[in-house]
Amino acid sequence: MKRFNDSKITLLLVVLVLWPAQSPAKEYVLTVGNEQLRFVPQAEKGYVVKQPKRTAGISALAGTLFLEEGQVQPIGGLDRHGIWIVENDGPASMNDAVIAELVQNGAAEYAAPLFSSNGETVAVIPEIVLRVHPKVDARQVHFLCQSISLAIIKPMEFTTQEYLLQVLGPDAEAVFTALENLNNVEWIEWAAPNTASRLMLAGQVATLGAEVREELRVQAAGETPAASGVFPNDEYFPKQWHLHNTGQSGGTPGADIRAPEAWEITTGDPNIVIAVIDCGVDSNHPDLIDNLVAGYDFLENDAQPDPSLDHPSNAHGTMCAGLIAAQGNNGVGVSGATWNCKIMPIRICGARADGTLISATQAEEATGFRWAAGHGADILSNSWTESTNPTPILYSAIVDVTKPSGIGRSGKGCVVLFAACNDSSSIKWYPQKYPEVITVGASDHNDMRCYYSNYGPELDIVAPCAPGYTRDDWLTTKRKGWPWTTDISGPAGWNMDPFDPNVVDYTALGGTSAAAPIAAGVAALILSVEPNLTGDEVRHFLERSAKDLGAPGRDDYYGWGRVDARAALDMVLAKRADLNDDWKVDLRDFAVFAQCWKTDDLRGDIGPIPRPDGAVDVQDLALMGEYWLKEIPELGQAWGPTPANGAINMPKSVIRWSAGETAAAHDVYFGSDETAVTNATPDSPEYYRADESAVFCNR
Amino acid sequence: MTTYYWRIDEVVDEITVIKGDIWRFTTAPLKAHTPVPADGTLYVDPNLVLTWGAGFNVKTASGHRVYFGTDATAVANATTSSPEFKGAKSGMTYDPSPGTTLANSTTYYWRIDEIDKTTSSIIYKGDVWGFTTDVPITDPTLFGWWKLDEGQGTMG
Repeated sequence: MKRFNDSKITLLLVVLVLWPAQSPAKEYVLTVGNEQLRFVPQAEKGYVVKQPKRTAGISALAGTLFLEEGQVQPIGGLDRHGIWIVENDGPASMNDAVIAELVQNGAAEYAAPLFSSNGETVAVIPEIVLRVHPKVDARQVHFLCQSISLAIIKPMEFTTQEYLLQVLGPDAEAVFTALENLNNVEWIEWAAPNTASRLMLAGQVATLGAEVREELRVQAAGETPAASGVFPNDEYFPKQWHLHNTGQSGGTPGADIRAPEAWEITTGDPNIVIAVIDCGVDSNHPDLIDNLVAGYDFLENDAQPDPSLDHPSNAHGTMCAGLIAAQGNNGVGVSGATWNCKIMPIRICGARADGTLISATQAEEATGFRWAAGHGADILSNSWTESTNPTPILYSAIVDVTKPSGIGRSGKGCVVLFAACNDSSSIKWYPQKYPEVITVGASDHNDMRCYYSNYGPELDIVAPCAPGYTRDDWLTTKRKGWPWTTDISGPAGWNMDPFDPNVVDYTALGGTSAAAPIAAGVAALILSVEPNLTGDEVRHFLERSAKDLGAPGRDDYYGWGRVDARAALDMVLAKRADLNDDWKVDLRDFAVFAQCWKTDDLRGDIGPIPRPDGAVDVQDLALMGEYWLKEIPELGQAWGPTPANGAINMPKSVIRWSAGETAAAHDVYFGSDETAVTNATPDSPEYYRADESAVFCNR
Repeated sequence: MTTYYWRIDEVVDEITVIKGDIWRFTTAPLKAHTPVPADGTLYVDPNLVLTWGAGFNVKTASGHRVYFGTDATAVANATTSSPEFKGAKSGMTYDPSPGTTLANSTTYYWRIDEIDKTTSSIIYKGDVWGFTTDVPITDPTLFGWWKLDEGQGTMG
């Protein structure tokens, strides 16, 4: 609560009286690329202030505003630039007056009300990200900026096309005017405000009562792993039902990612790197310490991306990291989906002591994506979301790291996964809605969708991470079946080991926050077997090997289904045996193999499992035998026909399909003669062209 | 009622085209089809709702004209001014006895005419379908009839 002493209230009243003529609150609509962004001022919520350099500091600002220091908050990473936020719930007229007065008397370089954008509160700061067409050079940007009161703060790292700009004007009007001017320049692709919104983590963290501890103690007794597969000796592995479900949480045995079966093929290659983009990872954790590579902290702009210790929520990143790659078979704690792949911590957010989450701006997060890809990350695991508004600054970075010949994996493209989030609704979040992202929902220990897991056409796969299907199930199980993972070591973090209160290094994470890292771990196993796959190929094998749940084929509640690590690796190995690239393993492949037999033609070198050994020999024959007559879904094929294949009594309707991953256009063949359609070419009467979309009217 | 075949080839670039599988579907006839209960069904629960499959090009709103009665000829010849005409429905269901049930041991006839989507003067006249309701259970030692049909069946 605000506390003013009398004289300060008087001063403030003077300010209000002296500043009667406020310009009316104005709404701004921006078009960035194909997206429209709308900003409605909400002075009643509070305001943003940028201090001049000479007066920078929270206490100086609080003094000027007659506020206590706690009422002025940093925006993630921006406090060092003197940018602060005051959220005070109005009244609007008073805040408008304060904004004007701060600029007028020089206490602020810039001040603006908070804005509402698509229902979210957004801080519009005097920063813009600009993307220019290729080959536009920095001088051209520099001259343009000079002419319209902008300054280049820095070129964005790992791209030659983007710049972070500072708006030199005093208010939001200056920011939006500059954006409008920039978006009208022909050689500029787009310019977007570098907003800071309050990012959301997709995790749900358990607090266990004594009752649940007792149930867990009962569960732990007498568990013996089934015979098939490779089993690690980690203490809590028997509780990790998402890796190997024996019914230990009351669920259905086998409703898991089939990790022990996959570990027969590989337990993970230490050269595969998964960036955990989150609130930091505990670099001292005994179960993670040997599986970490250098990361970066984009919130505090330093090379120590460890979590802050002042609120349990800061354990979120450490929990995600453990699900991916807590060291396996080291006798302690838990096992990740891979035992040996490496985690690269990228810190973009953190919780303050009061629990509020502060996050870096979109520009910093975008730099985080590019930094990770530029420093060798193969997979980017994200258990958070930015906004219900399109996020063009993040999207540009996601495109840069995933596209062929981009900065990801020396041009092969990174794999970017995001949690679908937990609103029990259709997916409304960005970047989740972008097609380059693999969006991961949550299934439970019975292979049913969790009630909270978001759904819709953007959902790609689900991963097992919760014990109950309905809300009631979830409440009655009191979260006892959440996946076990690493917590911040020592007294910080969640500290909820149910067996021994002295053990504080492990905990359980639920929500789709847990689903994305589990799927990321499976993607890492795929790359461990076949490190030269493109990002698109990894995605293809991950999705098409998933256990189909819900409606047949891909559907909006389970995507392609629940990730299945063993099936994914089998599909990758079968593809390796497909020597003539016709997506099945048969005599034609054997014919190619026979030509290579006992020669130095290494096309035939496909074995042993997991990686070829440089000789064509009986091991290769064995691998081909193992996958003999296997068919592999072809990458890039159209799929998901409507009407369904074989449907009868169809009323008049359009036909639709889902586009293959790499399709730029579609050749449509349609007719009532099966042979003619089978053999049709673009010169046949059965041919139609559908360039724009996967919708085609059959009449 | 035509079976169509289609194929989508995905064009990746100037050189690469990924050929698709052949898919098929069969269009509906212009007339209403697939009656439930099927034509000629015996021992039908008298508390029933009739359903059918829509014609290929039927109007969405009030596109199905329902005729219902106990006289096969009257139903076959009925027009919209006949007492057998029960109105034009948007959905493919008709409850012949709302709030109550039909008589036992009676044969009923029904016909669905489909109105064309684009030209509402074009009517696709339906076949006459019939079904016979259950016999009443008067023997106190009996409490139901079990039909032992192959395939579709109901228990009474």
